[in-house]
Amino acid sequence: MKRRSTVTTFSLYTVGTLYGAAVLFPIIWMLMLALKSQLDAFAYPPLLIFEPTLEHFSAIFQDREFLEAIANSIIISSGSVFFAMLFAIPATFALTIMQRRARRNALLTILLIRTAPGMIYLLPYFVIYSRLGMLDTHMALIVIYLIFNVPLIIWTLMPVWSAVPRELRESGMIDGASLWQILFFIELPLVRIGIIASGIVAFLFAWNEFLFAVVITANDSVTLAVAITRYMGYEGTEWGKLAAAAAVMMLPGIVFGFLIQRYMITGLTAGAIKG
Amino acid sequence: MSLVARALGRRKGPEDLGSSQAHYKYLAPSIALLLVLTILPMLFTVYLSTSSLSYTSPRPPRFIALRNYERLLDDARFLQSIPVSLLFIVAPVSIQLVLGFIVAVIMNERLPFMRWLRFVFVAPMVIPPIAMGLMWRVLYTPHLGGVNYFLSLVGIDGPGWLTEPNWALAAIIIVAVWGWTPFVGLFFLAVMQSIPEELYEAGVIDGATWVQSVRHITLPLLRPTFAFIGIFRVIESLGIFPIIYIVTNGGPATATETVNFYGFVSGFNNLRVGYASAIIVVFFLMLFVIVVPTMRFLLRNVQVGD
Repeated sequence: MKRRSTVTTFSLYTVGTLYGAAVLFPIIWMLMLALKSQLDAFAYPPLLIFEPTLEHFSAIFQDREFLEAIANSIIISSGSVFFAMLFAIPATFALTIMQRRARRNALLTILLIRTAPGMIYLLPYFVIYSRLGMLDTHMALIVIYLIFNVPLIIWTLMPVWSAVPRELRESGMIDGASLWQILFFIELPLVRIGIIASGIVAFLFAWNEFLFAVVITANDSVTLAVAITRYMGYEGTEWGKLAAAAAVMMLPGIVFGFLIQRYMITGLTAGAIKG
Repeated sequence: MSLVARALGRRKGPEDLGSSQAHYKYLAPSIALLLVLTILPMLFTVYLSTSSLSYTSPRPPRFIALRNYERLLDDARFLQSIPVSLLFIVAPVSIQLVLGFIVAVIMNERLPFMRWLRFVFVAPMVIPPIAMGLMWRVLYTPHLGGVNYFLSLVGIDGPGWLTEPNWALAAIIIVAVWGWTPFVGLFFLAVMQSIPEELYEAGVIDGATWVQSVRHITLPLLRPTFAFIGIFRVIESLGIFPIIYIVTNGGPATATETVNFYGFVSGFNNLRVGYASAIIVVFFLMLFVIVVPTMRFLLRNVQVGD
């Protein structure tokens, strides 16, 4: 073990605690705002202790547009996860079979596509969709999100799938199973944890996405990310509702994030980064 | 599954399975899909950038060759957006890397009571960028937010975060650091945990202090990781959008507009699609200049997926 002086240990605690507090502070501040009445929200100096109210939450849950946005977000996010899985599962399977060099090149290319800023695809999709009459439809966003979710699922699933013992596959081959049968009946059940984790990661991506959503949707398919910004209206921002809506939007991420924390990182560190 | 194969003790490597090439048809649909969904739109953008297409103009679009690009050279708003884009790469990414490394070192020490830091860290990673922007927008807003209030407690007269150009730039950088340092930190941590304990023990035998062992053992071993994560943070930072949209909306005036943000404004607020496409092509070239040498570097120095 590394030797640590008392001074070092003390500084580590100090920096760690300060940093942790800095990370939590904005989140707590916003949650407090969501629970404050309009009057308390603007009190100065800011009220740290106040009488919490659920008025903003009850207001947004009576807002039909907001409820529809939640439904749209669920439809679009699950839709994009479903279709992305159809592509990504066989692809990941193939990648685990491929030879090292080919696999690496394929994985890096896929990662690059996922990382590229959406802005470079945005205008053409807008023009194409408007010609096809597909603007403001669920399918329009589902298709675009494939660009990001197929790579995301492959990268999250890869480390889980790599851990499946090769012997299973080989014995399947010897028994005369086709690749297709090996994929579905032998390996898929073994990587189901990975499927669930990568599905959640992909769902959250679509749930959180803003750039395409704000351009492609208008009324019928507005997602939560876009609906929230509508509380920043021209007649002044409704801060309480805004904060409450943001809290609702954060919920799936917070809940699932803790569950799949491990996979979000291993997806990228897969197989260790070596010099 | 067959017990016979086990009994025979035959071990086929993945290479044996891979040599049949049959598995490529499982990968092909994904590759084809990704190429169709990305390459075609990019080519279409190049085509659009040579047209006068504008949804506000009653005249039909026509081919105007490089006219849009010529106009860009005289467009002060565009020229100003380039250094802003670069600033929003250099400043946040370097801070994220340094701070991320520091907190990873702290988490790697496995100090009692510091385990919660890992859980705290997950939050910014799963919070939608739009909500992230909102939180900070609130914090920067006078009276509503806490930033200037807490500054005033320590005797600092807080600036007008969203009204003074330089502070608005700083405001965006702070959000980017807040939002993406945890990811960088957890990434570093994952790699640090794979460093064998013996290396540190050897260091202790040689009389290394804690700081020395971090500096001479941990840091050099993480150099490739710095490169790997740094590169992808750079690419992602180029695309920073929701944060700017919500926190400053490019303002005050156009002080915090990046190249892609200006492309967005020209395309969807001003509806000058041809012109906006030219901006996006330039934006793509910037990306290209960064990505190609990077990709070469990665292919040489980094192993993935093994």
